[in-house]
Amino acid sequence: MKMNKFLIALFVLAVLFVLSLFIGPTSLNGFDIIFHIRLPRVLQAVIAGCALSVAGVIFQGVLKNPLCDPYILGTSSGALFGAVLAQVIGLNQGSFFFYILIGASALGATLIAYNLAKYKKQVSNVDLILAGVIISTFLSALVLLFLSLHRESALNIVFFMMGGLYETDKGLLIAAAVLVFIGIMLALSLSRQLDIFSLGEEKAVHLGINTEKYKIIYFTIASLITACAVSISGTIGFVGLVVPHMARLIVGPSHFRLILASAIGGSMFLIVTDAFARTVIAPGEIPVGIITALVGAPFFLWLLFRNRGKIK
Amino acid sequence: MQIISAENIDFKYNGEKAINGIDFKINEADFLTILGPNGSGKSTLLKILARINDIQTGSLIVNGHYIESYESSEYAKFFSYVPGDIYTPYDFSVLEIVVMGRAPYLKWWEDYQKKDNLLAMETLESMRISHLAKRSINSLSSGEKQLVFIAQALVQNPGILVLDEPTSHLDIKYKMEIFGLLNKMREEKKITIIIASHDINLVSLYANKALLLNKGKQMFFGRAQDGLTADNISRTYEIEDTSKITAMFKL
Amino acid sequence: MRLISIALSAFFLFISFCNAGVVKKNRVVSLMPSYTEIIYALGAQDQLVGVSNFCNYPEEALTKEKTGDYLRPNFEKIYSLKPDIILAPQWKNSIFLKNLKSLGLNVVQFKDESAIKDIFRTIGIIAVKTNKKAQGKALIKKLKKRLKDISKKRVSNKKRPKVYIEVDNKYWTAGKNSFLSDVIEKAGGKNIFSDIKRSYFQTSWEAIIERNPDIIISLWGDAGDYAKKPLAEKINALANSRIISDIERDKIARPALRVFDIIEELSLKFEK
Repeated sequence: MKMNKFLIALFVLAVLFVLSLFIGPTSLNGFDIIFHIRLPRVLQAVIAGCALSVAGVIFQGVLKNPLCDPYILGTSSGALFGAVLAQVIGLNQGSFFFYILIGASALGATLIAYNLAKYKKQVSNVDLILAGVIISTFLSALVLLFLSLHRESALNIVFFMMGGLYETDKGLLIAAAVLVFIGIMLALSLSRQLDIFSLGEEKAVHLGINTEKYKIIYFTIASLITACAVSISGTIGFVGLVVPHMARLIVGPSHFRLILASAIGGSMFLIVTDAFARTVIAPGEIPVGIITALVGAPFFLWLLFRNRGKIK
Repeated sequence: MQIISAENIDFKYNGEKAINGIDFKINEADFLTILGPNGSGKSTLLKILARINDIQTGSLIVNGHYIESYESSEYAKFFSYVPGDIYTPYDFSVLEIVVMGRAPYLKWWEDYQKKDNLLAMETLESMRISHLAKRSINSLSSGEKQLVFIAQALVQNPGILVLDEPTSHLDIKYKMEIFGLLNKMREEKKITIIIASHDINLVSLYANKALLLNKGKQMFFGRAQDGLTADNISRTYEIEDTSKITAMFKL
Repeated sequence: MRLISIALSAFFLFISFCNAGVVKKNRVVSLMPSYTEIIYALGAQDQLVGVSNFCNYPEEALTKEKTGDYLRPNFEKIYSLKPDIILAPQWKNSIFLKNLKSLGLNVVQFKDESAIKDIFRTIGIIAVKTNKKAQGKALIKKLKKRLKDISKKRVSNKKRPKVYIEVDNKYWTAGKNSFLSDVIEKAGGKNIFSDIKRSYFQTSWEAIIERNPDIIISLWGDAGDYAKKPLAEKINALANSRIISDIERDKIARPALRVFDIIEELSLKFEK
C-alpha cells in the first residue's frame, strides 16, 4: 500500500532523469553529448541531491530540530576553507586531490565541531549547534581574509559557495556515488532508532539505546555523505533543509519512509533546478545553488507560515 | 521479594550535593511515592534510578543486581520511565509512539514485528484509548498524551515503572484514571510503581510506601500511612500551619 | 615718473619670467595600473606621487607610494600626498567620489575601457592632465598605425579563426561588450561568444563544444586541463593542439600599452 507511492515516485524520478538528458544549453542532441556531458551531470545531481537531503533528515532527527541543514556542523565552511587552502598551496583546480582536499576539509570541520561540543563523553544538542556556528564563523573569517588579500580569487570562491554541477573527475564521481549509497543504506537500517531519537535523548536512554554511540554513527554517516556531495558540487544550499520538510509532509515522520522519500525528492529537486541553471541564460550558466536558494527560500517560508503554532 | 535496595546514595552536581544519604528498600508490587518541594532532589534520584545520571556513591541494587552492572537494553527490559512532559516535534501516530516501547527487545537491524504492534494495540485497548491509535501525537490533549507515554512504558513489559509528576498538568478525570491504571498494573501484573507527585490526596489513596525529601535529605521513609501525616508533610514542605494541611488533605 | 614706470615694468617682467620658469609641478595619484603604465609611456612619471597597490609595471612604479587598491582606496594616504589630480576608475560606489571631493581633492574619472579604442581616449585625457599633449598625440598615432599594420598583414580572404578565451576556472569567458573580446577581434580572431551582448560571464563546456573554437586562450590554466574533459577531441583547438596558455594576464587584460604587443603576438599565432 505505501510502497505504491514510492514506486510512482521512483518512476517519476526516472522520467525526469531521462528527460533532463535531452535538455541543455545547446541544440546538440547526439549520443556523444548526452552520454559524455549530460549523463555525468545528471548523475551528479542525483548523488548530491540524495546525499544532502538524507543528511538533512539525519541531522533533523538526531538534533530534534527541524531547522537543521547538513551544513550545521560547519561542513560548508570547511569545504570553502579547503577550496581556499587548495589555491594557497597551488593545487591544480580540478585535479583529483583538489576534490579530496575539499571533502576532507569539510569532514574535518565537522569533527572539530563535534569534539568542541563534547564534554565528559557526552554531547548536548545545543552545544553541538553552537560549536558548528563557532567553527563556521571562524573558517569563514579565514576565507574572507584570504579573499581580501587575493581579490582575483573572489569570484571563483563565491561561485564555489553557490555550488554547481561542473565536469568532475570520473573516478571521484563513482567513489562519491558508492559512499553515498552505502551511507543511505546504513541510515535506512538504523532509521528505527532515529525515530526514537526524535523523542529526546533521555527517552532513548530509557528505551535502552546507547545514545552516544548512535550519535557518533549518525553524525559520521551524515557528515560523510555531505562531504561527498560538497566535494563534487560545492555547497549547494536549501536542498538539505527544504526537501526533508516536503518529504515529511507527504510521507509522515517515520524515518524509514522519510529517508527514502527525501533521497528521491532531493534527486528530483536538483535534476530540475540544474536543468534550469544550465538553460535559462544559455550559453551562460547560473550556479545551481542560486536556483535552489531562489526556489527554496520562498517555499520554505510558505511551509513555515503553514505550520505556524504547530511546532512550539 | 526485595526489588530495590538503595543504601547511602549521594549525588553531586558540579560539586554541590543534590541528594545526601538516601536509604530505602522496597518490594515487588510496592507503590512508592516520593514527595518533596521543588529542588528537593526527587528528579535527581529518579534520574539515578533511570540511569540517566551515573551513580556516584552508595549502592543501588535493582532486581538483585547492582544498577551499574546492567547493559542498557537489559535494564530497559525491566525498568521503564515516564517523564512528566515530552516534547514531540514530529507528528508520529499514537501507535507508532507506543510500539517504540518494544525497542529494548529488538536487535539493531530488526524492525517491529506483527507481535510488537499487536502488543501495542492490546495495551492501548486495556487502557481504553485504542480509538486514538491512528491519531497524531500532537493532536491529543495533555492527558491523552500522558496516557500514550504510559502505554509506551507498559509495552516495555517492565518490572518497575517510574513516573515523574505524571498528573501535575492534568484535570481530575485523567488524574484518577492514571492512578487507577497504575494500581491495576500493580495488582494484576505485580509491577512496582514509583511515583514522584505533588498530588498528595491521590497518592495517599494508593501508595503503600512513602519517601519524603527536603533539600536532598531524607525526611522519612516507611509505610505511607506513617509517612503521610500532617506533621511530616509540613516539615518536608516547610509549611508552618499544620492545621491547614490536615484540612486540605484530610490526613 | 618715467623712471618709476620703467622700473615697475621691469620688475613685473622679471617676476613673470621667474614664474614662467617655475612651472608648479603637478602631483598625480593613479588608482589603476593601466593609468600608471600610460603615465610612464608619456614620460610623466616624475609627476606621479602615488599609485595603487596593484601598479606593478614598469618596475619603477613599485617604488612609488602605495595608496590602497581601486576597490577600496586609502583616503588618508591619498590626502597626505596632496595630489592635484587623482586618476580614478568608474566606481560603482559613489561614496568614494563624494569622500574624495569633500576632502577638496580633484578627481578625474575614466569610464571603463571596453574596447581598444577606449585606450586612446584614456591616453588623451591623461596626456592633457599631465601637460604632455604632444607626447599623447604622438603615442596615439603610433599605436593606431600599429593596429593598421597588423590588420594589413592579415591575409584578407582567409577566414578568421574561432577563438575561445577562458578568463578563469569554471568557464568564465568574455562576451561582446568586453575588452578581451575586442583584443581578439583586433588580433584577427573571432570570439566564439561575440554574439553574446555581455561583458564577462560563465558558460558551459557543452556550449564550447557546440561553438567548436579553433584556438583556445587560457589565462589561468594550461592545456592539460582541457584534454581531460569529455568529448575534448571534438574541439578543433584540442584536436590540433592550438592552446595558448602562456599569456600574462596583466599584459592582455590591462587597457594600456602592452596589450598592443599581445595583439601583434596573437595575430601571428592566429595566422598559422
